[in-house]
Amino acid sequence: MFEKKEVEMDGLDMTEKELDLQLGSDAQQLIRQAVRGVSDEPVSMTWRSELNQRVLASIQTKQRKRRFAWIASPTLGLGLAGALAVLMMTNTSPGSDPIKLASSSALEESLVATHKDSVSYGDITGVGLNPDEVVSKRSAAASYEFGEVDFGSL
Amino acid sequence: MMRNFILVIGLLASSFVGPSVRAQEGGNIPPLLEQAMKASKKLKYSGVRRVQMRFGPDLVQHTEYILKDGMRTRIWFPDEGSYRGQIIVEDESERRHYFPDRNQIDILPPRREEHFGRMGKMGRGGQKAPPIFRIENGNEIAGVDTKKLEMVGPNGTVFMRMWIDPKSGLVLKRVFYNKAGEQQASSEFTRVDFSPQLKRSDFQLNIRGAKTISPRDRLAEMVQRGAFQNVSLSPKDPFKLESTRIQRIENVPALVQVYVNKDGRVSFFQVKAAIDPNRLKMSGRGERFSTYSWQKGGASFVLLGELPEAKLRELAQRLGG
Repeated sequence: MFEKKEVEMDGLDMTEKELDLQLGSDAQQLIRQAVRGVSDEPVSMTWRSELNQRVLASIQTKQRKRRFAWIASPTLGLGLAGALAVLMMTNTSPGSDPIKLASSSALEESLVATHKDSVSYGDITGVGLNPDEVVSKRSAAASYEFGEVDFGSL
Repeated sequence: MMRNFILVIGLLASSFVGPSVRAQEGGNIPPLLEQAMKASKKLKYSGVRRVQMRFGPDLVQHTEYILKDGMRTRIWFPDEGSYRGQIIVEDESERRHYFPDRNQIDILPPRREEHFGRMGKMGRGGQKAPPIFRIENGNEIAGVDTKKLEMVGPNGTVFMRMWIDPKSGLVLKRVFYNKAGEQQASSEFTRVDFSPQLKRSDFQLNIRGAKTISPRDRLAEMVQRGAFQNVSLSPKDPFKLESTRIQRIENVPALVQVYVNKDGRVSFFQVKAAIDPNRLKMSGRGERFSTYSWQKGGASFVLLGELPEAKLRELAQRLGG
């Protein structure tokens, strides 16, 4: 069935028959016997178990890392977003400052009263002494109410 | 026939024996007040005036010597008083106020008799609820017979009384009352001369070596001193800066700027605290002025003035609000 082909080996022209002859030589038989004489030891079960444990441990570590990454990534994202939000809320840019709100309407009422007094006293004094200048010269007893006026400014 | 005759006689009699007080509905300025408004720009006189103001429990009073010739005024003070040496000279264009202790002249916009403009506006229906004017015979003030004019607010209480010389139109006495009907401030002439000897120099104020300070100079100093935001109307604005001061209001530092023009007086507050616009409106409810407020850069800004709210909003826009 098969055509006998020439086998090229190390540059030597050798037919299959010649090759079989060589393999059946005494030297080859000697080596074959030596190889057969080597004992066939089974692989240690302990070593295999250790290897399995190491492989398992390696897989578990990888899984843990993957699970941590799966949880940590969005948490980190949320954390960053939250920090950004807090930063924006506490940012003191003009026009959006959260400033202390008075707990009662006293401040608003006092502003209205201050303006009203200014107008009324102005009506009385006319072209005379400016009411602010009169205030600046008030007695010390009145200072509890108007002492807040910056005298130096008047 | 007889009954009609009695009715006519009765009506005629009642017109002669009517009440001495004449009330005039709001919306019309009584001729006496119109006369006083016109006279304030034309009168010539010299006089001594006593001014009283109540600040809390304290009554503060002082005396002024006045020379007036039309729109020009000179005011100075007694040597023994707190204002010794101060001189105020005002004309159509400016008001100069000399302080001897600082050797300083403050240059201010003229104050004129700005309240007359406001009363005119009230009387002409510029207010939602114009006051009611009542006129009756007044007592003698500084030796001059007067007519007393009362202004009654919408709540039925008198908020202003004036005693006017019906011949000259000079307001010889004014009293302003608070909401409780208590006297808050007053001014009254104790002496008046309608034929004074006036000199041109009476209405000039030039002190050698005196430093002149404008309201803008004062504002710049206040802004720096109180670390306030530099927010003010342009010098070209129709509203002129009259005064600036730092005042603690309810323990909150406030920069108070007062602007004036022919429409009246506007107070502009800058406070380092939040202002509730609704509470502000509530506080000013029933008053003859509007309010407008906004917040910027960690401070609240408040405008108060006898202008419609829309006008205050325009003013706020010119202030960056």
